[in-house]
Amino acid sequence: MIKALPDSRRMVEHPAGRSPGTSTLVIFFMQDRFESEGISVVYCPTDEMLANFFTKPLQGSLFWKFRAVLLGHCHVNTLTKSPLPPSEDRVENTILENVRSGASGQTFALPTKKKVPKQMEVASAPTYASILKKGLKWAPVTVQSF
Amino acid sequence: MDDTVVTDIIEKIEAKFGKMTVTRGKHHVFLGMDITLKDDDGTVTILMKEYLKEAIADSGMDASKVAPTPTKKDLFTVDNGSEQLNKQQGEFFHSIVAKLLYVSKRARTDAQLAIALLCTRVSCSTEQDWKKLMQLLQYFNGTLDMPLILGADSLAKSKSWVDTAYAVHDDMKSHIGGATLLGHGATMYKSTKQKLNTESSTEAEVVGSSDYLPNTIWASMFLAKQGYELNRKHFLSG
Repeated sequence: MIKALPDSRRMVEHPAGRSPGTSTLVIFFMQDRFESEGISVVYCPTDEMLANFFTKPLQGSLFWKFRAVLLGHCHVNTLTKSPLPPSEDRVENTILENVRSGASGQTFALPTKKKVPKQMEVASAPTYASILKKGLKWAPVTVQSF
Repeated sequence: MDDTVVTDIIEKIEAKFGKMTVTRGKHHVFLGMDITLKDDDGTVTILMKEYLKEAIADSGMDASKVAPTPTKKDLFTVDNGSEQLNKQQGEFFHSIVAKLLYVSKRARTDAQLAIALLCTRVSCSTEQDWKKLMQLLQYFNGTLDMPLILGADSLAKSKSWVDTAYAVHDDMKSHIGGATLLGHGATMYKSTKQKLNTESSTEAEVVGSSDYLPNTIWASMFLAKQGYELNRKHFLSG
């Protein structure tokens, strides 16, 4: 099955180029292996992607971070413990903290969402786009603790 | 392990193959590597200081220069107008790269990418490649005491990272990177140019994953034969 990858012989057999579906075969082969070996495939965001160290000439903080993990100076789990929360949370939290503590002496007007009257919600019929949006709502992949 | 068992095995080997040098304890020197075992946290430290010093001295580089990273941003750009090294210089370039290849495969994971690229350039090396090599040597010069530390939390869990950079090479081939970790340090890693041209970044990603997957499977099979079943294997893809 590994020979499903296009090799020189295949190229000769198919003068028009690569035979159709070679990469499809590779995908099926991998899926087969993932199942038989009990390997779980997980999505990984860029700032935790350790393999980027081996594909891109990284500079600066990302370089230090990945080097420390790869050379074993830091534990693997330090990768996922991002020092900063996602940007949206960060903004909201700082506003809330400042308002609650009142230490800064500043008053913040919390951004409030415009209330949509219920009648309007009912009135507007669901469009194809809204159904699609609901059905394909993206949920972040939760990585199990190592 | 019991000392008498080790002594017994050594005696058996010596009976068949003749006298050999034996070192005992927590510190060993083997093929240019200083290997130190730590009992308290169960880690192994591998340092190749002397070997690197030798490579730096051989290259005739200015020993006072240091660089913060092994590569510059333009690592993958190949300047076709750059002057070719003559035959003698080319062979010299080749020998230093081969020396550093050994280091990068043993103790210095961080230089793997630079070495992988320089290895593709040994047959037609130019002044630009020589500069890239100097950058790498200067980086090594600044981080001579940086060891590789290997350790594992548990021999039942492993994580593999795989990623591909699409069409970064001069011939529009992609570059695969992958690493497998058990806890501390990369026990297995790969950084190579892909063997075939791909049509899209998605296809490159598929080829890269399928190229690295055997390493993950091999690691789990190897550990299984030692008596440790990996029951949680993660394959992290970008």
